Amino acid sequence: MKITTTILVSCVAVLLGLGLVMLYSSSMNMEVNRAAVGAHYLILQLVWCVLGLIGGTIAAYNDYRKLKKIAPWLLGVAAFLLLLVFVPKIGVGMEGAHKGINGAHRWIGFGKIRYQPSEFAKLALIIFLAAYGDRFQRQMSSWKQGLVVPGIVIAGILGLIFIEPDRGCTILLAAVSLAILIIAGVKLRYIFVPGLLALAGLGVSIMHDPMRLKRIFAWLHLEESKDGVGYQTYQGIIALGAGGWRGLGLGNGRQKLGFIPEHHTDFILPVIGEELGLIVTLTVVILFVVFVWCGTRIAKWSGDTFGMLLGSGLTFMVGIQAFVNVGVVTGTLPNKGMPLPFISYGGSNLMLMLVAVGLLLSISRFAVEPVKQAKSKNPFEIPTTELNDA
Amino acid sequence: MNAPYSRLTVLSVCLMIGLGALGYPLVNLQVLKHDYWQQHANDNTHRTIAREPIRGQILDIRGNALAYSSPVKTVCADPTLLGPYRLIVAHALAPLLQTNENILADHLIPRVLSVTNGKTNFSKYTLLAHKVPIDTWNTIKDTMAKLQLGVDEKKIKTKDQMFYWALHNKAVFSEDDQIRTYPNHNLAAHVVGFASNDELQTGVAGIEASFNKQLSGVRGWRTTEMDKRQRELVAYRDQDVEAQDGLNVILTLDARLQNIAETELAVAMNRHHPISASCTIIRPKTGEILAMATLPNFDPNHPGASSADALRNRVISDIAEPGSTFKIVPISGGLNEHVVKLTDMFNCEHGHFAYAGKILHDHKSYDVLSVEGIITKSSNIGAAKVGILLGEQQLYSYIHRFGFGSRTGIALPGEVNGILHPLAKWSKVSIAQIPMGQGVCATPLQMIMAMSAIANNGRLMRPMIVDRLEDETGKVVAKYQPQFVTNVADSAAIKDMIKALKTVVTHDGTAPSAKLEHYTVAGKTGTAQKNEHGQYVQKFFSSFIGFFPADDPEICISVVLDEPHEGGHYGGDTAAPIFKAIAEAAANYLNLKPDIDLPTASQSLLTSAGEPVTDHGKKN
Repeated sequence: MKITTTILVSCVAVLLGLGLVMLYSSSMNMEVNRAAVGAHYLILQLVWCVLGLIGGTIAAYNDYRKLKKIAPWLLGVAAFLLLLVFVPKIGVGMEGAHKGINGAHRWIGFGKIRYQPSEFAKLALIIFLAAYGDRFQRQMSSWKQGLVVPGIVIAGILGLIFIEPDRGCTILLAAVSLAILIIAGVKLRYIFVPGLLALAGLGVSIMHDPMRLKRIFAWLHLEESKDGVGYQTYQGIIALGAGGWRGLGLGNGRQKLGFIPEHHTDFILPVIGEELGLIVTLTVVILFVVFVWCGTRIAKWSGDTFGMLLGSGLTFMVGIQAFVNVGVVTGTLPNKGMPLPFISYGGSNLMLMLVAVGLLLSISRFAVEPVKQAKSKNPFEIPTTELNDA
Repeated sequence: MNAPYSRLTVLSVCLMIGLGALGYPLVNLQVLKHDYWQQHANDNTHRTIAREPIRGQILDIRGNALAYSSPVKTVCADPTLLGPYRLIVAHALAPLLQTNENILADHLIPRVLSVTNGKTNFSKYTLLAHKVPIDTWNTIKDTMAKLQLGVDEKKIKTKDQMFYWALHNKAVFSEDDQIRTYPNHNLAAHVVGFASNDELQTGVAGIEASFNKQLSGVRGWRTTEMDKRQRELVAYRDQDVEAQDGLNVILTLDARLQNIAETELAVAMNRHHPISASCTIIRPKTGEILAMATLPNFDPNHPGASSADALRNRVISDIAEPGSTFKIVPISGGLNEHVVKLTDMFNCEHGHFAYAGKILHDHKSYDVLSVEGIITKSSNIGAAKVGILLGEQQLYSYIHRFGFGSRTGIALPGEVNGILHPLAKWSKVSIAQIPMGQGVCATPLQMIMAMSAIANNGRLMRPMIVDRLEDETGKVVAKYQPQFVTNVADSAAIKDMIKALKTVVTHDGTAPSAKLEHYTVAGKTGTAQKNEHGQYVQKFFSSFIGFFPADDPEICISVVLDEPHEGGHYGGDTAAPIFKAIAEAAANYLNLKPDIDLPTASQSLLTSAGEPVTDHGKKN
């Protein structure tokens, strides 16, 4: 377990360090409202990073099982905060850089300090679902306890995030929630029908949203839409391709000079790819794989069901986010704004990620080492001996 | 309870495989298709910027600018940045661009370029005005920056702030260009010529054309990179080759003399109403052209406003039978070959000389004239008889030697050869007609070069129009030297010739009105009847070519009037007074040393006309 946590923390440290360096490289030449950004974003990110590390440390040093009791309250606070973004003066509108989706309510804030409550909601919902799965672990296979009740809670929170609107966050949270429910033991056939319905609903929603449709089209026909909807993806791909396997060298990227929109947030990986090459982009992907592997081990060996569900929920949150981000910037998935964990600029998300890592560490402290098994076993085979410990 | 663990494992493995699989598109993009995307990345930022040289100036010998280029702006606009404020912008800019407000407003309507995927692409470029002075452009910039749009721009949303900022600062922009200016307008227009009004400024006529390569300079370039907003990334600048500005061409022309010539020609145009009038002033010793004027002329700033006739440099492009001025060729030849002496007497047949089935006429009836008298009185019959004495072979050789029938080689475009038929094509009467200036055609320049050869002690020079080339710092790059062509006659013959030519401006001569108070003038009148469709008609080509001081000539001036309509048609009555006016002003300006102190001094020259007569003419 010690090795697992060491690897996990190392992964996070490397990603975080790379993220800060690349954030500075990609944002220093930026201009916002004709003012040079310089180190401004780096400093903001560092502040959030420190806050996140403090939060993560607190989470790591405390017993995660304390969260079980306050989980419903946390969810209540999250819902309250999500409602608050619609309150005038507290809710903050979108910045000029995000023009085109003006009218979205994603932030709350006073003056310069802003917070995205959907990030907190992610954590609260995962904790709540883990606590719920722990509390009702024997009823999870039933229709009502296993699906209807958590379904309503999930739908409520997701609904609030959806109308902000923040569809990317909604889809991510839906996927994570689904994973937790599946792991918690909901019967797959129960999930199958509502899952199908949800997919159909998503399909209809996309059909009625010209912007979504265009993005799908741009994904399928990138070359034709490179001057329109597909512009960002296209320029991102140019950056990755131009980097080659060794990159142009730190700071030498050209595509960050106004060619890729959001190159310091969602599209930071192309900047990394252009400046540092395939060596580093591939390393980033491998580090996330390793992160998921470590997180899964911690979840598996956690002392209780709550820890297992929480651990897997947090791991999946990080893993899916990374998967979507890398998928989008390589043109493998349709364009959907999602930050690359630990690397993209964005304080709220970074803080959430670091607290999530803290929680994983807390879970690992109370984990039970499995009895050493003979290796060379099929890793996909169910390790029966461990189950008895749970 | 195996389910949670197996499910966790399966899901997590799926996620890990999914993440790991994304390594493939990364490898694909970054390594396998690296070259392809590298090219696209280069297209984004790599730029080659041409660095345009400034076209060289054309200056006169004293450094007065006759043509120069100065930077101007081409004003353009991006109509897509104007939003609803098109009319306000048009209203503000119309007076500055000196156009109609409505037309300007129409230009500012965004034009549809194409429609792709249901998205309309508008043109981001429209041209508003060419050749806008820098000062005006600065005013336009200020106007746009301070444009009142009826909105309190301090109280608008962040997103809209960008729009207003772009409207004020980016919607109207400019491109570099240069404009060719001819500050003296019509002065020396035919020599200077003009350049096309586009960015290339290619020389079309005159020195602008013949020295186009030297004036143009060499274009430089810079290969560099630019960010999305087209700001240069200086750190990535690769090649940077400065443009080499065009060389300045310094003409032998003197703007003051040119002005004198053009002013007097204008007087002549008013007095005699010819089709055209031209004047060339040359320094015989070197062949430097000090003035070359033709009326009607044009303003090179607006060459299109003048007719094609006015654009022609008639001094080098028009040919005519020169008439009596041409007599200097056979007589010089005769003197040089010693077939005649100045004092030899010829029977001038009282104005009717039947030769080879034709009757040659004089403008007045003369009985017997010395060779000198033939020049003095300009007797056609006398000249014909000298020509006949000289013989076809010799006459042809002298005409050729004086430069007729081939271009002088002046560095101006459009010079013609003139017409000198080869001997084989000469008719029986040619030997008698050609000496009096009929049956040959010459340009006014060829005529004055021939006269200058006499003034220059028989040394025919190539006409010089360009003195030197200088770079923009004033360093001389090329200095042109006077070019000697050939010796037309030895100095004894030339001396006699000059002696005869001096008599032309006496009371006995054909051009007493060309006589100068302070300088002895040697010259020759010409009054050529024009030949239309093989018939000589009552249209004249009147000229006077003279040089002074006659024994050490400083300048040679030719004045040519094509078809004077009023105030007579004789060269002596029309061109000679113009010569005098130009000569006096030119001598004054050039501060030439007078060779006559007293008005009476010239009287002694008259006595030379009264020497014994030997009647060579009757031998023929």
